[in-house]
Amino acid sequence: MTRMDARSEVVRRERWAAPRAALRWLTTPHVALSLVLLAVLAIFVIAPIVNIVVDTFTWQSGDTRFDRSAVAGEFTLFHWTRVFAGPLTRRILVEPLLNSILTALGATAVALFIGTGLAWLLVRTDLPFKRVLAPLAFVPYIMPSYTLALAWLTLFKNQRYGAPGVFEYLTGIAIPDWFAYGPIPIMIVLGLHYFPFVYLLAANALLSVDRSLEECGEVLGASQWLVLRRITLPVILPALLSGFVLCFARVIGNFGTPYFLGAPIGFMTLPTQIFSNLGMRFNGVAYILVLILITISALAVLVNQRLIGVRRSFATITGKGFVTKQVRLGWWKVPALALIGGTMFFAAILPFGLFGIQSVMSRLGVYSVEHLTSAFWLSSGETITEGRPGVLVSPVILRALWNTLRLGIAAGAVAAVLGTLIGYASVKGRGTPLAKALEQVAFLPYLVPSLAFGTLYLALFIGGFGPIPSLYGTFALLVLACTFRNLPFAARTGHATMMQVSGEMEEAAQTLGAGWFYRMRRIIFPLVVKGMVAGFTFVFVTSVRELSLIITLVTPETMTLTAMTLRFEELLLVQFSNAITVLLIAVTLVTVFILNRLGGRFGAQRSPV
Amino acid sequence: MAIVEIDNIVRRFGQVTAVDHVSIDITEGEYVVFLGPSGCGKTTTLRLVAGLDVPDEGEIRIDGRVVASAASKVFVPPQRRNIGLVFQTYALWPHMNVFDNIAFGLDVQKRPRREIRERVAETLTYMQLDGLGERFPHELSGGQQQRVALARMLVARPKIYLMDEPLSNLDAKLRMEMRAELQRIHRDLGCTTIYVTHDQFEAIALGSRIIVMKDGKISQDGSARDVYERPANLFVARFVGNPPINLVEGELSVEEGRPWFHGDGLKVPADVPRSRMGARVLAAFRPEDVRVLDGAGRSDDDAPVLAGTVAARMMAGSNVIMYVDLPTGRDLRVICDKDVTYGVGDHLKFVVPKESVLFYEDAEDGVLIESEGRRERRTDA
Repeated sequence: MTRMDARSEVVRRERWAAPRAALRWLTTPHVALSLVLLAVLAIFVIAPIVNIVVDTFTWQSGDTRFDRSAVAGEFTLFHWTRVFAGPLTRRILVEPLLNSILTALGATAVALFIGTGLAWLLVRTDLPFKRVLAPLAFVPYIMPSYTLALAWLTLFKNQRYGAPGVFEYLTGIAIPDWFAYGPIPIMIVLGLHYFPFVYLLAANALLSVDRSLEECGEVLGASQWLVLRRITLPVILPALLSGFVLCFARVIGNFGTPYFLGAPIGFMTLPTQIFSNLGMRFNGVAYILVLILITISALAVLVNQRLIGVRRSFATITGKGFVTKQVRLGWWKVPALALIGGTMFFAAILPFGLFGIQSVMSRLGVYSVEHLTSAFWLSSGETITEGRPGVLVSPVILRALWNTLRLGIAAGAVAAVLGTLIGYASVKGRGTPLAKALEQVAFLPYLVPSLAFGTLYLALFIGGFGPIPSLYGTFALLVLACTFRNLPFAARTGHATMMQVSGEMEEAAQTLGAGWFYRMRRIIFPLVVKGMVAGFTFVFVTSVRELSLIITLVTPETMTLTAMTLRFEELLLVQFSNAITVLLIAVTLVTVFILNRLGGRFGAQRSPV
Repeated sequence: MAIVEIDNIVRRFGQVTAVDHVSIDITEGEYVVFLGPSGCGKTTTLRLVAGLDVPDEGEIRIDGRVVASAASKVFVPPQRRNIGLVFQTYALWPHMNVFDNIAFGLDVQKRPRREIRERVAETLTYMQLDGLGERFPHELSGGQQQRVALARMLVARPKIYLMDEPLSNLDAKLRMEMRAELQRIHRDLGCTTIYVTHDQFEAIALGSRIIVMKDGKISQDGSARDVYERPANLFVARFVGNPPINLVEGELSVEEGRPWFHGDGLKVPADVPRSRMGARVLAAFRPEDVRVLDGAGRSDDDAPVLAGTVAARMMAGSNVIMYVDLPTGRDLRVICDKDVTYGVGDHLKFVVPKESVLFYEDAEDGVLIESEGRRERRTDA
């Protein structure tokens, strides 16, 4: 080759440098993967939010009721005026908003108190039976959030709305309305449901406190209580504040509990108000309330990130924490155990037992042996069941069970795979703008309360969207909603798992000639399968017990057990809803047990925040 | 022709230039060692050759084919470079047993099942891993894991072996054994090898050619002998050798028509160009070249002599290392025979053979001042 040839060869090669560089960037596996994932997230996370914002400014299909000239799809400020400056503003917006904030604050305070106390007792003291109590603490969180609400009704409802509850039956004391319904029971019940969330954060914070800080105080002569008050609590205070804010953000989106406990006396919160507006086809109003709910929740999360501090990486709660020197409770053990036992009993065991008993009673409010019946479980239809077959033989309910299970499995599997891929792409591209964008978009659903998220999907997919046909009424829509709502958790798990796999594992395969798909199949996936099972378990559990998220999306064909409960409760066939809840909890617990055996450790699940 | 051509490559990480205009040609069958302290860019260079990283400037060719070029943006990923890499951490896959770990490269090549079985079995025997095929990595000792990592690379028969500090996680004894093992493999297979280490003994023991790196640049590129006996600059002189080389500050001057070095009580005839007279230089000589001048012994008339007191004496198995305080406050490192009977506090005289003394410019990483004759021989060649 002459010198000229060589030079023109170089020139020829360099002419294609730019397109080649672009192609190489695009074909880098983690880049291509990030782009694909971002496209998916754009459709299922970003588009629904944008869509609903647009919808609040346009006439919706049923709106000719308000204005004969309304043309669906045309611009209007009608909905915004109606919510913020109409004659009904007080009833539509102000009262539910205040009620929501009030109950959420109250419930969070309850959760914080129980969760922190439990964490301290289980992590830092010599309380007996810790190994049993620690996993039990998660049971309330595994159960559907409204379970406790129904249990509350079963116990404390008064004659004003149908048959009296167990308490009144046994004591003859009539329960006043304020204790049976409304804000007080809502706060208590939600607090009892969400305390495991605070417990997890507080326990991790306590475990990460350097013991020498406390020992130093003890050496200087401080008593245990002084050390707790002056050293331990201030050190974990940021974590507790964080727990408070994040718990608040979750509680405020809860639908089931305020629906069961508030609606009977007309006590509305934002979620129940959204639900009722959707029921009346006041979609524009419902969407604005959804946006308000999202804003509150997002603000809370932002406050947590900006003011209280970085998104902490919490250690897992098993193991080391139990080794450090522990506070000796002495005789305090007795009241401590009684308190914990009482809480657990009320939050976990009692509802299950109550429902079990009530589901075999032929008459509500009358608990005696002669009224025992298996009709609600096994009969093919009797007068007391209004001709409906029992839970275990009813094709409708069995189909709902099947729907529930396959919803959990499908959403769990899709979320686990997506979460793992997001974890892979973000770890591989660590520090690049693309990876950061991916992480942030995957985190977005966390800002959207469940009921709001379901409504976003309803609004977007009720008609077709781009190449996607109308998904309303399909099972796929439920799966998508459960998958993407829980994606932040799955992505966090995927990220954490991926961080533990050294990059050399993949590089070694690469130098031996393995292409990307081969590497993923033979190296990466086998190495992260444990993390995937954990992610799957988490999404499975949250999906099967989910009500707020899917309540706006289910149809008779895609009915799940949780939605079924709601229907029967509305029909006042309480025994059915109780039986179904017992069935649901049993199925969930059995599945979690099996999955735990398979290697996913639900109790040791990393905190998603 | 060179099988690996590294052509003026640069790799930056933010503000840091990890590899700074490095060019190396490696001929087939060569055993090249990249040697240097941590952060010198040796591992980055290796990863660039492997294709695990992309150069910001320059070009890399393997077997005449451009595998990475910053100008034309050509990039061949590692899986299509026909290389093998042994990692410092071994990077054995914990979910596969030894057999599957080793068979992986052949699985990728879609070899028939029988051939895979035979070749893996052969390699297991070759690496003295017989009977361990069913074990998982965590059930092996460090040395065995190292052998599996080597076997995994060997069985795929790559064209170039890359090794990134493969022995640094082993204890001293195993490391010696594995060095012998690596030499055996190279003798048997004669494969082109690039070996990265910060351990100078390892480099000298293994490499037919050593490239000493510092701050992303090549400090010296030469044979093991060259690097040890004629370090190109003070950095190499100080980095190679343990205990480190003796350095004495002084001046060059002409006396009786010959150039001499004077400094710190040392006077040595210096074989350096006349143009250097009057310059501040450092005289350098290895501890093992220093001889003790005992009562009976007699030095040559012009053999340079230093006197001092033994401050520390350390038995090092086959020899004894002594730290000697010189009257100037400097210390002298001496390696002598293990049978010597001197102890701490003894006042001794030492001979520094003039042919073992090298001279360096007195500057940060000052370069070796070559003798006139040697310089001419170099330019001829």
